[in-house]
Amino acid sequence: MNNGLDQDLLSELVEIMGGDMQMLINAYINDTREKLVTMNQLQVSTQQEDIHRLAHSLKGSSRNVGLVDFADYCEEIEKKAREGELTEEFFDLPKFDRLFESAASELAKQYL
Amino acid sequence: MKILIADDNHTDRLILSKVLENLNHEVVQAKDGSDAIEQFKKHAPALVLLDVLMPGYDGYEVAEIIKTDSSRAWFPIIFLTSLTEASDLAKCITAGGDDFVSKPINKIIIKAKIDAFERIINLYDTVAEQRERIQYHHEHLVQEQEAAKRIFNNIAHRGCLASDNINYHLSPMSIFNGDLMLAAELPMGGMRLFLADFTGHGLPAAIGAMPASEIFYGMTTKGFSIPDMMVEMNKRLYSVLPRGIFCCVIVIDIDSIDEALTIWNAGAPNSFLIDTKSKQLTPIPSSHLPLGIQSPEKFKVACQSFEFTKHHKVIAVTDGIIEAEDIHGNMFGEEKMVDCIKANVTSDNICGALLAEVNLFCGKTDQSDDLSLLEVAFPAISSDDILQSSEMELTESGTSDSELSLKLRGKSLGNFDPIPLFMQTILSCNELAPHRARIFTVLSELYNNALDHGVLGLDSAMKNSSEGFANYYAKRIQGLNDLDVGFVKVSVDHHPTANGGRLIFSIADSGEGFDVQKIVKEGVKDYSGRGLPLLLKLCDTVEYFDSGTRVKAIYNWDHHDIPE
Repeated sequence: MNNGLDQDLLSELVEIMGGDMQMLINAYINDTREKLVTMNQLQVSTQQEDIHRLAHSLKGSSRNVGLVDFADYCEEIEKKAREGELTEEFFDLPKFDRLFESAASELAKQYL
Repeated sequence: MKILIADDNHTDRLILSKVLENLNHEVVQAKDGSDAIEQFKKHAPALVLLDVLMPGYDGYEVAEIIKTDSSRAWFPIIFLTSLTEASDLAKCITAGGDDFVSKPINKIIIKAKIDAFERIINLYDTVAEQRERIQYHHEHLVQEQEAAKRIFNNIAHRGCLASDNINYHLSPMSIFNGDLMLAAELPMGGMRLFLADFTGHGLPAAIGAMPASEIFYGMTTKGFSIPDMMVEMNKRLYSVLPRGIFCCVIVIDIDSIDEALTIWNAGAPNSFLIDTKSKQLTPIPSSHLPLGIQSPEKFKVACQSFEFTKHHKVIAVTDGIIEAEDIHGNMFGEEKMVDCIKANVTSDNICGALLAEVNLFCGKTDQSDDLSLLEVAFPAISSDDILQSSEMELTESGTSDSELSLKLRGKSLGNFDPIPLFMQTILSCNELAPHRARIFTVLSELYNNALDHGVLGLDSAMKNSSEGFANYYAKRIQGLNDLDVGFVKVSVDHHPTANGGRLIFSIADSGEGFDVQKIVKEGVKDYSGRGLPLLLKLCDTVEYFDSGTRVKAIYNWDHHDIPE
């Protein structure tokens, strides 16, 4: 089953976090939503550097909580933006939201 | 262990904190670079985990800033990074980091790294603690040495080393090099100098300085001769010095009235008598084992005597100067020393010239710490000055009404010096303290006349040349050794008077006497040997009886008439 989550990593994370797992998931979802709002406001033509940094940050935190598909997409964006080769075409914001929201609702279902 | 985590990513921070808390560490969180610097100052963590990419100050900048905080003991910085370029990773170390771990965080790797650094931190703490303890002990030791130095310097004070006729070099810490230099004025005029070199360094070498100084100053002011003083000093050092520590000495008496030098060298390098007129150097080698080696029963002191006038000097050294090494390990040696003295024979400061030469030879300046050098010329003070004394106590006491007589016969004349005994008895009357030098002079002149010219029959005219001088003293020693019969009887009668007292010295000897009338008529020139002019100057009357074999001298003293 591919729901965009790394279930092995998540089991390990539960082991680490114990009773704080809910708090972690909440913090992650809130942080990420805020960052996605910021992302929506950035211009591909002029703000590739900012996009790069934000994508890097999203990739890091998302991988830590097992959102592998979303993290992979962030990494692609990060790489292109770092080289300054990101195009409007590739910078697919609806895809960003879709990948995140489906994985996030699955996370919420499992841990909240 | 207290650990600071700086990461702008909330999720990463939460997970990492939890990992560390599960390992029983105390965690402080910082959400960016500036916050990291602030939290670091506030909490003084033992270890810092730094994210590389942060808004504001990035990880590299934070590392550089907090590592320069010198008030902190050593602490490790571990960078957290998802960067993989070798150059990015290398930069973590050049910025002041100690290691890096890649993101995403693996709890096993994090635990391993933190455990490893904890061991290093403990090691640093142990070293710092030990260094602190060593530093404490070192400071303590230096303080103790300073205190010891002050005590030693009070006891082994320099006496009259500052006199104009003396040049010397002695390291301020010489006491811990085992070197000791003392000088005191003799009660009869002139001075006694003492240079000693105890074997070894540090406190063990300094121990012997205390009894040596006490004996030196105590016995010199009481008028004891060099042999008597050295016998006493050897006896004491023999009993107190640990095995393997002994003491090389040079002791010198300068008699400014007789213009004579008496010297004894035990184990030290050659001393040199310098005639600045003829530019001749006479070496005075060691004639005895150092002090502290021979048992008192076996210990014998035989001094050498020389003429010593305004154009003579004497130089004494410890082995530091002979053994001073250049950078190749060659020693300075006696030959170079003699050459240097000869080259500077008319200099006012041969000591300074020698020191400069040694420093030049060694090619460094710290060598002089181990050197002790003494240069003495004829004392500039006249006999009148010597007779001054500032001590004064006006209480009627002690032996102000007394008589003491002593008759020495045969061998005892050579073995025992009665002057200190008489002086000690006479001076038990405290009022006589200002008269000490005068009384000493009168008594020793009278006694030595009786012994040298009376019992031994020596002619003082012999002393008019340098060779005659040495000859005179050699004959005196020989004469005393061979003595089987003969006597000198000394009597000192002390009566109180209205304003002071009267000392009557009566000395009789077994000699053949001399023509008193002739001597008195011919005046002082031909009879300088008996010191008659000096005696007449100091005493109220000097009378000879029984063909000159008996003399009576009267010395009146007054409370209100302190000798100048």
